[in-house]
Amino acid sequence: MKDRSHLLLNILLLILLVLFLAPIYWMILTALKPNALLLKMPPEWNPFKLTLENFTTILSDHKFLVFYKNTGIVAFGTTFLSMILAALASYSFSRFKFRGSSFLQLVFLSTQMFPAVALMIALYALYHKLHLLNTYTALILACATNALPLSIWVLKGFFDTIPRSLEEAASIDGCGRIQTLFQIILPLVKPGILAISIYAFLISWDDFLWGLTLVSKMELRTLAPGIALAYLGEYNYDWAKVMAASVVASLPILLVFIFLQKHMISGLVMGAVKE
Amino acid sequence: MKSKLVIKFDLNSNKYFFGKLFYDKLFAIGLILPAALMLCLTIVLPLLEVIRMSFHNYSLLNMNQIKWNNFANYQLLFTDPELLFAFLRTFYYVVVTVSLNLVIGFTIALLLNREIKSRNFLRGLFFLPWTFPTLVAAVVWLWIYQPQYGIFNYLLQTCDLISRHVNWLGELNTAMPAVIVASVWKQTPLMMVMILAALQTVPRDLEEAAVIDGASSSQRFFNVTIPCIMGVLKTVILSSIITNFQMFALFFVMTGGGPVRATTTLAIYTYEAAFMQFNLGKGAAVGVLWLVFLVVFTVTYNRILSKKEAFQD
Amino acid sequence: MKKVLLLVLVFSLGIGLFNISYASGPVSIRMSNWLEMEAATQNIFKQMIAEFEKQNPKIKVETVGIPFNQYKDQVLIMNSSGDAPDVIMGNSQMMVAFNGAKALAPLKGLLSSTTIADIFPNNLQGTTFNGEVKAISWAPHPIALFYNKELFKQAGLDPEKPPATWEQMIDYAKKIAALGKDRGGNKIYGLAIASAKVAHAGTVFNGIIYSYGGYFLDKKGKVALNNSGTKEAFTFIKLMIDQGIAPAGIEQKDVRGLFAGGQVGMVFDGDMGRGAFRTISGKGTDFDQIMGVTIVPIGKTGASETVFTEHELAITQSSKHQKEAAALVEFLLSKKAMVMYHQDQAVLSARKSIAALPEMNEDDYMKVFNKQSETARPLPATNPMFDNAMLEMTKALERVTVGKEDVGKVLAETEAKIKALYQE
Repeated sequence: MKDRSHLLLNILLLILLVLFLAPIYWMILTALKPNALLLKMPPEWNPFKLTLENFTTILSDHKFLVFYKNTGIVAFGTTFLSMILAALASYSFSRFKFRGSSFLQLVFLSTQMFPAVALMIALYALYHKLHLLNTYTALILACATNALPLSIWVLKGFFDTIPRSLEEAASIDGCGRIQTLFQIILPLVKPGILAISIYAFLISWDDFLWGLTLVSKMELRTLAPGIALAYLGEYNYDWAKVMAASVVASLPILLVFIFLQKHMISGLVMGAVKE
Repeated sequence: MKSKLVIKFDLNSNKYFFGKLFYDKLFAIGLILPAALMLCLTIVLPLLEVIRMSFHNYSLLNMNQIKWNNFANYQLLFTDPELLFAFLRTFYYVVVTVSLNLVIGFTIALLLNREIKSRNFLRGLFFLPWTFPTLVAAVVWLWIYQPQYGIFNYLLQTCDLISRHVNWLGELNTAMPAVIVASVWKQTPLMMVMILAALQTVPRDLEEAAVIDGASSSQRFFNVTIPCIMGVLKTVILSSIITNFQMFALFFVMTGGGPVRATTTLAIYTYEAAFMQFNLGKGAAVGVLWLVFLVVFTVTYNRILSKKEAFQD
Repeated sequence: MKKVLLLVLVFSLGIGLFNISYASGPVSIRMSNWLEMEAATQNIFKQMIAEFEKQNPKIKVETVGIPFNQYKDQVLIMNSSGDAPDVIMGNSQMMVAFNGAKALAPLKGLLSSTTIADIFPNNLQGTTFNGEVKAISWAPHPIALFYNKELFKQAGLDPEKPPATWEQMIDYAKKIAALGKDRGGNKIYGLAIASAKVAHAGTVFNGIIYSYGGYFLDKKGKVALNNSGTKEAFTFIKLMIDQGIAPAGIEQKDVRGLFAGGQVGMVFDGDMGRGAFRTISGKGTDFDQIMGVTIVPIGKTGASETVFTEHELAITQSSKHQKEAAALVEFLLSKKAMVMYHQDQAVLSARKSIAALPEMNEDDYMKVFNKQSETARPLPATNPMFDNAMLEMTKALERVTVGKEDVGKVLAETEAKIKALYQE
């Protein structure tokens, strides 16, 4: 009886798994098809009849490589910036109690919910005045803003678990505060730092809205809006090429994820569980 | 907030002119300052600007003549029935998407939380869709739904579930559900992983104690499991609600708000007002109303769900 | 590749030296465009610009490439922030918005009067705002009728005799739709007309409205969409879709996919259609064998009624080098540039003297389009909000075809909405 229900549940799990993975398979398969096979019905399922042509076109397309480079720059910039800012701020929130601290924390967290599309209207005008439009800085600032609130919150959870006696000991040993923070405390919350870095990286790789609006020069375009604008072109849909671009665009985060998923998930969950 | 004391850093505090507390505060604020400055630049200032713009005649066609216009933007909005519809559509989209995320995510998490081999591997596979950028998810589903060559129609037709090619994103009553499917596909994995991780923190002995007390499995679920993971649930649900309330990329790429206006949510409505009708003032006014709603909603949500926790604090 | 790089290097060095030896130096002008963003046109565009720079060593052209989908918004924003390029490329829908933003300089006096007089009157009318010529037609795209010869044969029709009248076209469409399904089990349609999603669908639907004797603007230039001709045009597309002869809820990009896939008998498209079909079908020039093209069948007015979309050029009001900008526009409109462009992309010219050249009429395909040019009417783009009006038109089409709403009611409401947009 128990075995039987176990089996049924496993079958349910398998069905769900297939449903979740099928779109990915279809995307990859499409990316491998020449145009003549693309519109064929019933579809060609056999991946061995296919071609890498779409990938070579995409990878030899100068535009696409530029998008790629830009996304990389923005993603690393965002990761770095939000990591530093989150580490400093969350340490302060965890260790010091001053008037308005919890209010400030609430404000930080609630910045998540400001409607991005509406903010964009003003950001555009504001960045225009500050000459920040069409710069990596604009994109990095915008993406870091998206990543920061949750990062601070998660990291604060990590700092909270570290006993205060450590700082006291360090202080007795004559360590300055900043030195204590960077040399003693931060290494202890490495898993947390890693988790929020991955998170920030994924957030900025996922960005569409900011890349679409804050940047209008082709040389500064990032992948998501780049694909939408350049490959869903004026005259027709080139599905195989779009799919190939999508696959290649997703590859880095896929790798990041495959190698680092454990850290990210456990880190984010620790943050979420502790409250 | 486990302990609320201020740490004694330095034993010979007489070295400080203003006293230790003052320097603590200075240090604390100094640490927060960079983050606060950035959020000022990217959120606070633009927010004030949005509010200012919403009271002005602010047109992309004529940026040199920006004038106070006596609430004309708001008047325009309140006489436009489309705003209410856009809001209701957003609400519908958010409620259905978040519920499905939660139910499916919970189901998979429970299935994976049994004694099962290769749990981590399966969890990784299930998590895959979340790692694809939203734009990619939108484009992939656009292709899946393609009326003539889309695989979706083909499969349904092969199974005799439909008799004609359905234009899923092009018909009034299927467009929104079609977008919801895409967003559930992309977002459920994160929900699932968070819930699964939370489930694994539920203490074994609590569950065992419940079994010994003769609790049925549904009693165990509602009286032991759910309370234990309430904190995580609350967080993931709220963040899912907020993400979806703002969802832009999926609609922008998949339907552009159509057919007719079947998928014009608040995000699309705002974008249209500001950047397609060139009326930044109107767009800003929508943003302000939207913000007011979100603030009220979040405060209420926290009130309702944190009553219980208030006792613990 | 290396050679090109070397050339560029030598070239720019040359300019550098030139700079030193003459105090005045070359004037640099900027031109915004989307041609360099599209794979099909990027090379020929660069070649044309290089040719211009060769002929005018004192003028340097800096191109500003913006993708088509974002083009209008970006140029408007550039203009409003005082950063407008000297020469703007655009289509009719965009130019009227640019003109609304007071971006464009009157061309009379900047371009030679012979050039302006050489433009077909229909095209010139489309770029004349309040009596002033503010932009100039560069490459018009009249919309004609494409048909699938294979499907014609299968339906028992003569593949060399396309429909000459509107009734014939409907009759043929019915016969082709009656074929049912193709070998892959896909439905075959008689006719496909874009009627959804984007403003473009509503824009080109003006051609169908003209075929029924309807209009978007009345004689005084006021919005008067709700007339009997427009009603008939809307009823026509609704019937075609309801009877399963035409597919619903598609945009022009989908129409092209259907035609390239051999699933539809007839479609309306511009001269860029051939190139698009060749690429999408994956068959290249082989596709030409099953593709026929003819002028739009004679409609209610007794003429072959259609519209043209077109690429236009304009010079900005804020340009500090209008004379040099005019030189670039003159060059791009010249025989030399047009023939270059035509040989690469099969574009047409809006100039009488050039359209008649044998180089521009090398095959039947081009002849059909040059003939269609003579009767094609400009888009009724007179208001900066035209593009938004056309989006409303698309929504009206969607309401009628997908939403099954009453044509009269939809047209009355749409007219009111567009009037509000136009502030009439």
